[in-house]
Amino acid sequence: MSDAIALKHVAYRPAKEFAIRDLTMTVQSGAIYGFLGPNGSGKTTTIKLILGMQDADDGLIEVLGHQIPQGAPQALARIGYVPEKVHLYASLTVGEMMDHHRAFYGTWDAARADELRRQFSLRSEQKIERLSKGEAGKLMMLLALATQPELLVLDEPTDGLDPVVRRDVLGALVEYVSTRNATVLVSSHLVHEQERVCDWVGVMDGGSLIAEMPMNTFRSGIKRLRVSGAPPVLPAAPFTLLGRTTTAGTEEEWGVRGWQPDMGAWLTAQGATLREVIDLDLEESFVELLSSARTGGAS
Amino acid sequence: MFRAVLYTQWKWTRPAIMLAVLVAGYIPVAALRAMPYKTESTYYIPSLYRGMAAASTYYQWLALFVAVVVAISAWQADGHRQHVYALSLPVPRWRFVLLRFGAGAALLGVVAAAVGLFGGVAAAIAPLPPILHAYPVGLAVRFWLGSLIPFGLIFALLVSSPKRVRLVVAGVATIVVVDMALAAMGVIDKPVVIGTIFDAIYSGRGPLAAFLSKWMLVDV
Repeated sequence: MSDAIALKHVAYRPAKEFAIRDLTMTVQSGAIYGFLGPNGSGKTTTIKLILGMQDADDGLIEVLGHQIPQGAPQALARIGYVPEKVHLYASLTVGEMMDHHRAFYGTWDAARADELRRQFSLRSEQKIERLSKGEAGKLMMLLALATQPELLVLDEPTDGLDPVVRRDVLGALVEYVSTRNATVLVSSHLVHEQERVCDWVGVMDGGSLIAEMPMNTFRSGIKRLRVSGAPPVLPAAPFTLLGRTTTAGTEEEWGVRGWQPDMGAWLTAQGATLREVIDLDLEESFVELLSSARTGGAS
Repeated sequence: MFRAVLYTQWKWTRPAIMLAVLVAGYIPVAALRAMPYKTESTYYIPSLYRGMAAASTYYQWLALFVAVVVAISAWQADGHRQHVYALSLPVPRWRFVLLRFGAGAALLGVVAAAVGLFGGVAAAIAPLPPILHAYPVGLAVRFWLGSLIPFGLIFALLVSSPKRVRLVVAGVATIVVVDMALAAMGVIDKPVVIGTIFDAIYSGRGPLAAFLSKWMLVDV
């Protein structure tokens, strides 16, 4: 499978106090890639680098076979982008904004755009400055989908939207992706929402990608173990120990990645007793991974 | 693509352009109505000439006003949103800048056309002695080119990154301060930089030299 987006050792310092460091990331064609991370972790900056809106200081960025930023216009012609904040011209009406957008995209599907406008209950004569946040979000999604993109880049597309609007927006997205086999990069800090739609996940924190894996692996691979009698120093484990905290006496809780049921024997060999294996939901896994990254991990 | 960009800029500047068109129509009418002498009077020709010379200043102010408004409006909406929409469009940056510049130039052309049209009508109605001639087309072209210069300067400033603008402003300010300090310390007789900059802009072939000459609808 080819890569829709490939970043190799990308570095970028937009401000003294923040930098993207040695970012290597791959989004395969046809994947729905959930780009997770807390606010300020560098998701939006990475997206802007991918779209050629900002120029990286170092590294390689390739999108749909085009080098970025040199080939950004060619790549952007095949990308539908929904930014974090409303970026449209406030004084235009919905119809005027659609006409304006159409002028730049040869692939504009006018029939589909009108269909989406009706589906989203938007009127052509509505002024953009008077749209609610939900309506503006729907209009941005409309503009992105009507260009029939091969790649959709969505930056917190449902942030701040009410459940009904969120359902409408995600519904239109899922319908488009299922019929077109498009690639999607969707950033969010709403972990549960990503769990429903994504098949790959990348986690950003502090300007670095701390994990990138299929959603199934992410969902099932991170566990919390209740262990007692473990020695303070451990030899190389067959799993990744994300963190260990003492709860009572010799009893500890371990956050682990890559856990398999047969690995209990390794613990026994260390003189430890495995009391319980606790399944984590995606949000707990995400928090476990972040705290591990911030403390440098336990092994 | 150009039509789409032109439409947005027309929408943002429409009130100013329409006001400018009205003023363009009013200037020659006001200048001719202010004539205190009848055509037979010996004072008619010098009076008409003086009236047209006064109107020239109004044309220049109008050109400056419309140029500033059109240049600022060209980037205001993009600037409000950190240019995210413009940067996400599938066109090279230089081309988008050219589209915005072209649209602004076309809108200035609308006001220039109004200047020419109303000037032509006014000159056709007013009785002109044989020694004087009307130049509505020449005035319109001059108005358009004249307004393009401040438009281009402000447009270029707004296209530049804030960092670059700050650098230029800081550089010029430093030179001026040093110049004044040298004059105060008696190293040089008087500050020379401000005068030189002013001369460079306004005199000879300076970019704003056109604003010091007369923009005459009626001339010999």
